[in-house]
Amino acid sequence: MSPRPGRISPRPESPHAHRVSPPPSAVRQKDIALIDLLDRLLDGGVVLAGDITLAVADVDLVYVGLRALVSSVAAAERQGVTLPQ
Amino acid sequence: MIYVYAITDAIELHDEPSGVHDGPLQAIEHEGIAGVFSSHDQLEVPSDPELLWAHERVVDHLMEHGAVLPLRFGTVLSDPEALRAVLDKDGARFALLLSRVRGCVELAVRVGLTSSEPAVVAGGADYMRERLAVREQEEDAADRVLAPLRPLARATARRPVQAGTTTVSESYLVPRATVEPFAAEVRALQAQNPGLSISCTGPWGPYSFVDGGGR
Amino acid sequence: MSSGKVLVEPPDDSAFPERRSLDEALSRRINADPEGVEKGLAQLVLTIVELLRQLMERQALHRVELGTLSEQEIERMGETFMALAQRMDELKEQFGLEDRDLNLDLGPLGTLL
Repeated sequence: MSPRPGRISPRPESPHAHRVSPPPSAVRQKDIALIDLLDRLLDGGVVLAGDITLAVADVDLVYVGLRALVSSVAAAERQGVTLPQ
Repeated sequence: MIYVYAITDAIELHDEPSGVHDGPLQAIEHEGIAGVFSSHDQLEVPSDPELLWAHERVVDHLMEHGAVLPLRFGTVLSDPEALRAVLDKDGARFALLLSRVRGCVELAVRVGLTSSEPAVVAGGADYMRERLAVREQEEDAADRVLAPLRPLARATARRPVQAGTTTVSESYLVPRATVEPFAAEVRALQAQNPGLSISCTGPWGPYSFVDGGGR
Repeated sequence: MSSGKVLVEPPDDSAFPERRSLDEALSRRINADPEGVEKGLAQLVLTIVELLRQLMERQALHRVELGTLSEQEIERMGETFMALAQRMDELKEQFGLEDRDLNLDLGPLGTLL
């Protein structure tokens, strides 16, 4: 995917270069519902103070933190903030 | 140890489903607010669809009987007393949050751009302009498309999606009675925007609105 | 029960980028690295570099949008980002990593990039 002279493309960020026909609807609906569910259950909801909980969902918090960083940058941009360079 | 599902003002449990690992539900109450949990000798809560749906099933059931603040998945405390201590400490804050979500459910809307062909560019400025055009198209599409939905909701909250994808995810806190008209509006928006891919799922517990009512 | 939650089904998966890694994410594979520590480290470092590259590019685009850059500066930035992208391709090739290897698995949250 390196740029070639005379024909240089920007790196596509979308994972979908073309439409793929989706599998049967019931499987899709199950996946879609599960993804939106995961999004809420693992990244939303009330969080109790860490020192009293024995366990939280087994997701590596470093990477959750990285994702939060990206979305907060995007949110800041929408409000017109630019980070210092 | 106990697995905690939600904070609610629906003090009494009736006809409740079982929770994770088929654990029967119990509630501990403090000054009009209850914490709903199940007790277990041992407990592991991997992010397994069966457990996730069990959690949501409990939240959905409680929402039919009162205002609910769902907990994040996987919250395990040592015993019911620990939960009572939480209710004691944060009771006033919970009461306020409960009043904000009362009668409402969360609906999840996603907008994705369908395929975009990478353009041919020559040189740096061209590259930047192309990237900018794509980005503006995304932002504009999301805001423009979703604008008619905002007046239908008590609150909205943008949710993070993966870095570098052309997807927008937004949550809406809507009164339960308006779920079907809201879905109808989403269908209309999809019909008006064939170049976009729009979804709506729910009703969910108000996970995105438990830290002060959405942004 | 789960299908009852889909009120409006989308025509394709472009709104659900997590879908392509959903099965893997939920099956909780143990990430054994037979080729040693070096490749695993390269994977981690390059993923973070790629994330930062995307963040920087977003910021630069924001400035272009605001109109605070000269034509020359825009040209130079664009060349830099293209060169960065090219360098990333070379590094990935050098370590035998594909794009999907850099897409760090957050487990059930899907992938990072």
